[in-house]
Amino acid sequence: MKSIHRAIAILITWTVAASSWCGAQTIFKQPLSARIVTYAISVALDPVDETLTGKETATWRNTSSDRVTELQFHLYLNAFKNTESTFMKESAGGLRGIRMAEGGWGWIDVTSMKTSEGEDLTSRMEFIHPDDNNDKDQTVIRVPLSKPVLPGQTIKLTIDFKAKLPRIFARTGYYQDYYMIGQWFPKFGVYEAAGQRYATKGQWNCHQFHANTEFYADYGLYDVDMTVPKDYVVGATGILMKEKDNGNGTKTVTHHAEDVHDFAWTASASYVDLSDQWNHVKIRVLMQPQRVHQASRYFESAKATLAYMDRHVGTYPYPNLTIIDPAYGASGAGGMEYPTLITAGSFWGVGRSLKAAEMVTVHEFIHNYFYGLVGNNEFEEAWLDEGFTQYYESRVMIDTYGTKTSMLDWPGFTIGDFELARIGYTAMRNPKIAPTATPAFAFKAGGYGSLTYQKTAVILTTLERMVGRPVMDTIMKTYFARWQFKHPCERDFVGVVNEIVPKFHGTKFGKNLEWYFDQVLRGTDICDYELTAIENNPVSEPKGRFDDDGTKADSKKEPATSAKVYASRVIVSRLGEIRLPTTVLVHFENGDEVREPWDGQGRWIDFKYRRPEKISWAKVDPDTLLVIDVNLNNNCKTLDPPSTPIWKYTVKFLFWIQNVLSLGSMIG
Amino acid sequence: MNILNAFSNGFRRSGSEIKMALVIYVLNLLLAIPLALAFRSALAAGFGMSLAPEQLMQGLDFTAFQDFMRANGERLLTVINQMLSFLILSMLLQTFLAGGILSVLQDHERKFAASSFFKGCGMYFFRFFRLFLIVGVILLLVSLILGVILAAVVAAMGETSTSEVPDFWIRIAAIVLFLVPIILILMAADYAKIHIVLHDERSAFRACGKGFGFVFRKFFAAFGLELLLLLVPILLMVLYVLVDLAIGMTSGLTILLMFFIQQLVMAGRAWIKIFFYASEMALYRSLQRVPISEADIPLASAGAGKSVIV
Repeated sequence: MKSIHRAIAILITWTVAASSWCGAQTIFKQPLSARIVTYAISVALDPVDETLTGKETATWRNTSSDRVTELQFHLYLNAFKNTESTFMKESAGGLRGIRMAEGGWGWIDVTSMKTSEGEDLTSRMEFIHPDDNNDKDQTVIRVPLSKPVLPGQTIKLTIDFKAKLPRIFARTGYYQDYYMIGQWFPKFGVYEAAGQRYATKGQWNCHQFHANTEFYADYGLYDVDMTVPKDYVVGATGILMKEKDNGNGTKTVTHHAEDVHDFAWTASASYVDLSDQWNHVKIRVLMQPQRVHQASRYFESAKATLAYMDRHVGTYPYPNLTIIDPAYGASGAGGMEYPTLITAGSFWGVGRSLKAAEMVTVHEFIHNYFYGLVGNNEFEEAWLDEGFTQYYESRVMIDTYGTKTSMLDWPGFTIGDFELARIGYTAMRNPKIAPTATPAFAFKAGGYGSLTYQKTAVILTTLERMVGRPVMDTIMKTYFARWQFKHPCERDFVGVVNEIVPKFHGTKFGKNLEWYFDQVLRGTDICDYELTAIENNPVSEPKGRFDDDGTKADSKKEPATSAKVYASRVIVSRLGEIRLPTTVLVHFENGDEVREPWDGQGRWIDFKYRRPEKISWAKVDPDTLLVIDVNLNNNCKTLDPPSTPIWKYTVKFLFWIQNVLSLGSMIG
Repeated sequence: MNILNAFSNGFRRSGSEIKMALVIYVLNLLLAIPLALAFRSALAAGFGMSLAPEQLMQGLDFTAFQDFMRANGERLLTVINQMLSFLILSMLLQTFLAGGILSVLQDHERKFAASSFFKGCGMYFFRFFRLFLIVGVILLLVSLILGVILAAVVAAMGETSTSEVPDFWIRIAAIVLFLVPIILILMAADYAKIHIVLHDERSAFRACGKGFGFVFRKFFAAFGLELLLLLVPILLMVLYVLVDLAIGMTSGLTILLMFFIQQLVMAGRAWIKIFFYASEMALYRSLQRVPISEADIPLASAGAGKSVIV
């Protein structure tokens, strides 16, 4: 295996030359994005010491009207360099319940950086810490330029780097012969001109790698040559251009990608390579051998998602999608999205009643829309991709696997995907911990997952139910069409909502929906409406002494034959701070029903009736539009509460407790 | 042969003790009812006058359940927390009842009579209680030591694993390796009780030693019988699950029907305990060649006096 070291040096030289050939190949006739960046990278994987040796030609085009005097790069792998990086300090060495392996450090060293004119910038590189004062963090560098990049100009750099992969942790690394290689090369930050998103003046947006954050980058072209041991199967962003046997135990696999903002790849000797087709998209699944029988679950869920997103959001433009089934012991690399490549996760022996493999496939593929095609800043506004993805995950899962059975389908116990998402938010110990519209790295006291993923899904579902599914689809199609291959922010999405909703509903929801987003997105309040009381009082003739007409008289006796009339009342309360318009459904004992609209503004409201029938039950938000309401059980009240279900669970509990108590006989 | 004989003898002997099984079942039910009623009150109070419980009729509606737990989880947790004290009570009750069961079973001719049953319960309670404490400590120590060792072995073997398949089987093997000693200890405890009853043993320590001695000396017979016996409750529960799935609990009528079936199952479990003791006693007698004489039977009832080798 040591001969690989020698082979690497020779191959890098050869493959850099070869990459120019690949650059001539095209996927799209017309560019779909501004293609601000171009990367041509030759990288060799050394499986002996788990290192990458790379040569990168990185090109950046200045599309602003500014004279740009420095460049900024992400060096994400340095997040795993030591315990002092911002990532490690924030995560305490654990992410998504997985601990970083002892001694499994990873890092990246830029050994050389030169301009195309030959100016050596290596000594000018400087680590910066734009988000905190952690001078030990080495995930971002700035490189001052001796000559500014003028508007419209392009700068081309040649960068040599050497990277040590971490043992699989936080999406990337190695585990035995399995390699998932993400966030691995020196990568430009995004230069935001004044007016772009929140920039008031031209500036680099290049955040450090945090425990909660993901990524943000410009769209462009990638040509990547990956040299790996000959028996390895390689999967990568973009399309396979060629594969060459180097005759020394290695091979070089070349991939080309257009109009994407990241490039990830994987290699393993164990993969079983499977493929299928959905319309124009070739779906490739790289499966662990012991789980080949699970591959159909990936194909089915990916096809269902492609079809659904195509119908309801827009077209997936790329010709392929690769789904990675991570190795056992490498679950830290599961459930991650990259352009045209996602990592999922299955488990031998887990049946279809638990739809975890489907859910993760659906989720990560939807990220190819929200993060991939619509490139919001994941550091600052993770809700725009994670939340949107969660929202569509539920829609696709429900459409494909059923409302109540889309996560778990056991006899007598089912869980729906959206139910799980909603509970993720409503069951939070402190749902007021931060607004959803908070930068991912600013969730210092927790709540990132619940508020970014789940609450956003609840916010969007509530919006969808208020304005209607067709209107919501129009909103999302418009947002997607307008902002694909760009970098939208909150105001861009809310702007589309404010534009579309009045077209369908006039002023039913006011001039715009800022009032809604102010409460649910920018605020921390909760929503809880309650059907507080039902009253039915028989109306009787007034009694006592009256002097209405100037004459004093005693009340008449009630005629014995008079029909009974009830003065009935329903009281509805707003227990939370969020105010949303709703409806109250009042059901009378003769079957009559009355729907009462309520603007939901007051602390309470009552609806009064004088009818010969009593109110038998009433319900606020009878169509369950406001799924953001944290307690749906208190939305209804009846005079005759159902006792059979209570007995059902009492009987079940009795049997269960009898069995538990019987265990005492084993030792007693 | 000993195993099958003991099994069939145990079956015959326990088959005539339906009344005893009913007494044990009723006592178990009485212990469980307060908790079940507390559970019902918590549910009823939590839902109040809401219509939401209707959503729980077809199955456990996840949203209704979670919203209930969010708003009223404390109520249910209070009930669940009380379970531990009831479990301890149940262990004491079972310790108490074991004396009665074994005192009845020791004599083939003797039929269940409440007075002699409860006399047996009282007579052996303190000896069985001391035995319960000894076995409890042994169980705790063995569980801890074995648990730590097996967890370390499983972790070490899984460290370089590239597939969950061998890891799965390693874990299954670890569970079996954990359960076998636990079962052996519980078996030893049963045989210790049998020894106490048959030999009027006063020392719980000595009885415990005899129990373990018997289990290890007659390992294949004792363990084989235990495995055979364990099939009975397992089959019963499988049958119950199938019936539950077929009937469901989606209406007042099916709830009532399932309630009766559940209670039948619990009565069955009470009988199975007697069946276990009867079979174990038959095996113990046959392998130890224990004669039944009047002197051996502290609570000798009228008519019980002849020597029998089972």
